[in-house]
Amino acid sequence: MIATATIESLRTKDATAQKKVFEQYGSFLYRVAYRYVRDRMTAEDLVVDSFLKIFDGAPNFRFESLRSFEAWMKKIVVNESLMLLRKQANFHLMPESEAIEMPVDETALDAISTGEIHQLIAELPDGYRTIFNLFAIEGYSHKEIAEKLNINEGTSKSQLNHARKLLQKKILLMNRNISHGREEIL
Amino acid sequence: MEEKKFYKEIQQKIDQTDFEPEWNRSEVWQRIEQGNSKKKPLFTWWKAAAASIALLGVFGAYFLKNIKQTTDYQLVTNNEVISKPQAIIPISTKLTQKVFAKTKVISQSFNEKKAIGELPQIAVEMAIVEPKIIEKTLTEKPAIAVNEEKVITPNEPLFSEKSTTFIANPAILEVKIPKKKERIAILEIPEDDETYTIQKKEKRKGYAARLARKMGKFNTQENEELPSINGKPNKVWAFVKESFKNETMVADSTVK
Repeated sequence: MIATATIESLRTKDATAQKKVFEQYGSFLYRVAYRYVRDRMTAEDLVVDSFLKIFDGAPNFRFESLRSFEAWMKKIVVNESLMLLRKQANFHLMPESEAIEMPVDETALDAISTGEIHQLIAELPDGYRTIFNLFAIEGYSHKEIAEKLNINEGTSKSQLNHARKLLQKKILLMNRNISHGREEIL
Repeated sequence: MEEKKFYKEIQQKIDQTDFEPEWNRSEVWQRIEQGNSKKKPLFTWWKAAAASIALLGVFGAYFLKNIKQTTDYQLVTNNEVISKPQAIIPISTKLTQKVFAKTKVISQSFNEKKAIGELPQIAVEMAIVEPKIIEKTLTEKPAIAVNEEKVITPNEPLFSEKSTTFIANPAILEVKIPKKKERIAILEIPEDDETYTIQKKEKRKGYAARLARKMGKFNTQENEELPSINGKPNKVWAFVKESFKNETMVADSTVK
C-alpha cells in the first residue's frame, strides 16, 4: 500500500515519489491498457503517456482517498486508450455478430481463470471489446460510452449485447474444452 | 445467468485478478524518466534518407569504377580486333606501324566537341587499314593519337589525314593486355575443291597394333575413307597455310 505522503510528494514532482507510484500502480495500469489495445508495445506506450499525464496533473489533483487516486489514474489510462482506439477503429462499422444467446451459469465462469477471462475479452473484436470494457468493467453508462466513442446509445447497447453473446459462447467453449481435458486425464 | 449478474461476475474476476501480462517495466520507467512519451522509431525519415544517399554514393562510385574498367577493357579489345587482321594482312600492319612511329599518344575524352567534329577524318585515315573495323571502332571510345610534329591550334582540326589514327593507349595496353599467347592461323581457300581431297590418314590404333606394325609383322594400312561429317563429303575447303603463336608476330599493333 502506498503512503498518502508519497502521493502528496507527487505535487512537488519528487522523483522518488514518482518511482514509488510507478512501482505500485504500473502493473495495474498496464493491465487496463492491455485490456483495451491487446498489444504489448502499444500498451507500454499508453502506460508511458498516462504516467506522464499523471505526474503532470498531480499538482492539480485533489487527493481525497487512495481509491479516488486509483480511479483518477485508471480514467487517464482509459482515456488514452480510447483516444488511440478512436483513431484506429470505426465504432460505427462494427460487424454484427452471429452468436446466439448461450446462457452461462456461475459454475462455468468459476471454472475459468482470470487470465483466461482476460484472454477471451482480448479476443473480442475492437469495437465489442471497447464497449464491453467500458460498460461491464469500468462501469460507464451507455450514454457516457456514446459520448466517449461518438456513437449512438443504441449502437452502444447493441454492440454490448453482441459482445456479451460472443463472450458467453467463448466461455462455454473453453469450459467444454477444460472438462474434456479433465476426462481425458481421468 | 442474467445479463447484469454476468457483467458483475466478470467485473469481480477482473478486479480481483493477479494476472499480469508480460511487459518491460524497466524500459517503460526509463522512458517516463526521460519524459519521452513515444518510442523513437528505429528508422526516422531523415535516417532513411541519409542511408539512401550513402548507399547511392557507394553504388555510384562502384558503377563508375566498373564503367571505367569496362572502357579500358573495350579499348584493349578494340585494339586486339585491329591487330588480328593486321597480323594476317602484312600490308596494313606495316602501314599502321609506320604511322605509329611518328605519333604521340594522348588520351582525349570522346565526348569533347572537338574530337567528335574530327571523327570523319579519322574514318578516312583508318579506312586504309581496315574499313570494317573502323566502323565498329567509331561507335566506341578509343584513345586518340596525333602527330607529335604537328602543333595543334584552337582553330585547326585536331587530326590530320597523314598522321591521325585510332590506337589504344599503350600505357593501358601494357597493363591490360592479357599475357595469353594466341595462335594465329592463316588459311588458304582452294579455288577448286575437287583437287584438294584429303589424303587418307592412318587410323590410330592401339599400342599393340602400332608396335606390331613397327615390327613389320602386320600391314596395318587399311583402305578406308575418312568418315563423312554431318552427311557432307570429307573434302577440305581450306588449308592451314601457316600457324604460329602471336609471340612471333606483334599482336598489339602499337608495340614497335
